[in-house]
Amino acid sequence: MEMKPEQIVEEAKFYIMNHKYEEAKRILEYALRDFPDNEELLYHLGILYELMFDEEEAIKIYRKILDFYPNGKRAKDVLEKLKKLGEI
Amino acid sequence: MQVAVIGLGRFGSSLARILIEQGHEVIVVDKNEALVQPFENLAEQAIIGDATDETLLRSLGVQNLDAVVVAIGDDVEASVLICISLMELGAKYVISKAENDKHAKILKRIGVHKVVQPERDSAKVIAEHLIHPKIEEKIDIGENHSIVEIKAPSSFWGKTLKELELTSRYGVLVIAIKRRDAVFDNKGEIRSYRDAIIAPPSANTIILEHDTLLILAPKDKIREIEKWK
Repeated sequence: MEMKPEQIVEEAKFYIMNHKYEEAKRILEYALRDFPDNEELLYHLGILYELMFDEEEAIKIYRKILDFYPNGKRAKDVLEKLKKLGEI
Repeated sequence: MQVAVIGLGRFGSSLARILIEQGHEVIVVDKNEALVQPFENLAEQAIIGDATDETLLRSLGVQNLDAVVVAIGDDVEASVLICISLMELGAKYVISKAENDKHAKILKRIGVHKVVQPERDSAKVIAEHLIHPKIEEKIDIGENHSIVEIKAPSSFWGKTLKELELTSRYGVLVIAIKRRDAVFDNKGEIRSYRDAIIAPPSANTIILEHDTLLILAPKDKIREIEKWK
């Protein structure tokens, strides 16, 4: 049975907690093929890129979230992150 | 820290802004009113004036400041005059920008504590990056050694330093590991991240995914390090 995006995010967080960043990235990217504009999947992928010291990719993802969901659940968090990354 | 920045061209104004942003007390000086004006509400003091005039430097109380930066490069005469005055007035730490090697030589003779050539220095950094694209940072230690910062290759992930035997195999030493961990709140949400420096790592330290390694290496081993996968 296909997993829901929220289940994938929980699994990704488990991998992140255990410093298995590549596995977390793999499952998030795989899920994004089925749910390409899912806010939570994108948001956690952005965080993951930051954890992997890849600020450039993180910024791209955060900008995408703001484009898709300017008033979304994560808009405030994303704006804060972009500010911290010197993008605003 | 209290710092005076003399000369508000591109280099001087950028430096002053960075210092102000980081919470330092900055005095800016330039002859050109248009260059001083943007600092009026930012700097501790924003002075329009000619710093070759010793009276002006005296009025700044340069001997009480932590550092004075002379960011005038194109007018070598003015830069040298100002530096002489600063040294005579007993400035604690003088940094000066130099336009070229000759200018730098004169400034060093005067006793300027640190001479910088921003264009040459940044060109060096870019050249290093082109020559060693995998090396994130490189600090030369003496003639033969460098400390290099490199992303841990994936073949290292999950292994201890003892297992990797980098010292015996390559003659290099991992002196620190930079690691980024997620910080979770009590609801299980990722709130932020924490950067940890493991220094010095022990033989049993395990390299984790996406760790960054700081390595002390002989310069002739850097090419070899870059081939690690």
